[in-house]
Amino acid sequence: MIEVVNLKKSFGKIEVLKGIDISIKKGERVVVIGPSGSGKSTFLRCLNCMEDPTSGNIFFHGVDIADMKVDINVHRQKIGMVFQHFNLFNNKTVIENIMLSPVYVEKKKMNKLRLSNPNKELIKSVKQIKEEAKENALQLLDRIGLRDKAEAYPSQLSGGQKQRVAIVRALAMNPDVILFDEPTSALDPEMVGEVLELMKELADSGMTMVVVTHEMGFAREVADRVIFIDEGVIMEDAPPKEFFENPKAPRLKEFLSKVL
Amino acid sequence: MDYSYKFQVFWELFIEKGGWKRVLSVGLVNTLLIAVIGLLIGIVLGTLICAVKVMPKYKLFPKILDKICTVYVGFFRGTPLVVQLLITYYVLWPMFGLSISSLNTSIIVFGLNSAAYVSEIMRGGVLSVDIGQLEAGRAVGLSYSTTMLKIVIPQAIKNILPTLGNEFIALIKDTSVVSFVAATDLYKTFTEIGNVRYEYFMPYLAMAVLYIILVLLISWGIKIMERSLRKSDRGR
Repeated sequence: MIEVVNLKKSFGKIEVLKGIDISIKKGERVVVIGPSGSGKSTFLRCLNCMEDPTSGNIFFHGVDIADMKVDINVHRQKIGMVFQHFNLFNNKTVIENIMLSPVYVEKKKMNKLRLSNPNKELIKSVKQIKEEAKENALQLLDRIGLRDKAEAYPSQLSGGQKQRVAIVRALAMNPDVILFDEPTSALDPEMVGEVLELMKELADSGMTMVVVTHEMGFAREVADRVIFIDEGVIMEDAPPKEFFENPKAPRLKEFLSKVL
Repeated sequence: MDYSYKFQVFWELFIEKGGWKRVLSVGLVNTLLIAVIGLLIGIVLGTLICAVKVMPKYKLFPKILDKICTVYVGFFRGTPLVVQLLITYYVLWPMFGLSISSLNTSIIVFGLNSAAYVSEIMRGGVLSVDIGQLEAGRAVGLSYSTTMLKIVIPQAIKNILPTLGNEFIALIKDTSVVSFVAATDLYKTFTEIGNVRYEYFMPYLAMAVLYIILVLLISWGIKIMERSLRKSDRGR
């Protein structure tokens, strides 16, 4: 589903990614591990062009989204992203956070339909779009047990609640893949569990996931593949059992001996 | 000093002979017109300038726009308001053969002047919003402009409201220089009352009080607006 070919990224003179090749299949759970400054977050952020790659290609369903001529917004709707610092929209309530993009996308779709196809039965009114989005958002909130917080603002939620809402906000777009950028790093230790639990649930439902994390337990338990990035290249790419018990790259052995 | 005489003269001219009518219906109205319309022009123009300044600049056209805006802001922040008024009224209009009333000139100049300041206030507001908000908007597939309009700018406005209030108060007080181009504002109408008997003591005191009341009312209004915008924050 995602095919990365010779991805390079520089910030000024510093080359952070020095040629990364990887392909991620539908339903795969890939966990990315590496020391800080290794380029793992940059790699993840390149996957939805949050950082524009300096060179290389990123094929998403066969389309090279690294090409500046591609309408990236359309593809991002199918690539969910969860951030370290949650980044919920502070000026919107929880339910508005979840509904915002689905409503926007659906409205656009209807406007296009109205121009090309005068068949009125296919066209939903704005009210209808909003109701459907709201219904869907409430169902998602039910799933994480936060329906009673629908009208709350992000500032009234705990860190764990914020991150779970952020995950659900990504889910509301029915994405083909979700990217997680250190989703538990900014949380209090006691809130890490609830977020990992939700991520495991997602993994079990067959969602394609790319997760940058320091949670080795999560990697071991959930991942299909664990990837070790250091100095801007992939140094190891193996199933978790082999990755943790029989690492080949010397740099990885050293890293594991420190963190495990 | 004979205070009671000064007071009597003022009372006679201001109350009995109806001087207050001109102060309120011409002086106050013009002062408010210049400040309010000036600020509105400033907000619209200032937002546009700010948009140019914070826009990502890959292409040539935005880069040129950016330079123009920099020169504009530099000019209006680099010269005194009075100079801008005088140049516009006595240099620009005659040069182009335009006859624009002194009141309209004041409104235009105040608008252009405050646009320079508002653009910088706005830019500060946009920069004060966490970059993560923009990233999150882009990550769910919203365009740059939609994210700006729906997510970043509403939060920026909340942050800059006190500063924008300051700008409005400054504009109100700065209107007292428009008599340089013969526009009639609060200052001018009170001076006219003083001119009748060459007694300026009470008129200028009353003028100061009126300015203070005006500014207090505005501060109160801003506070109420701020409170309604702060509803998404933790209770403070």
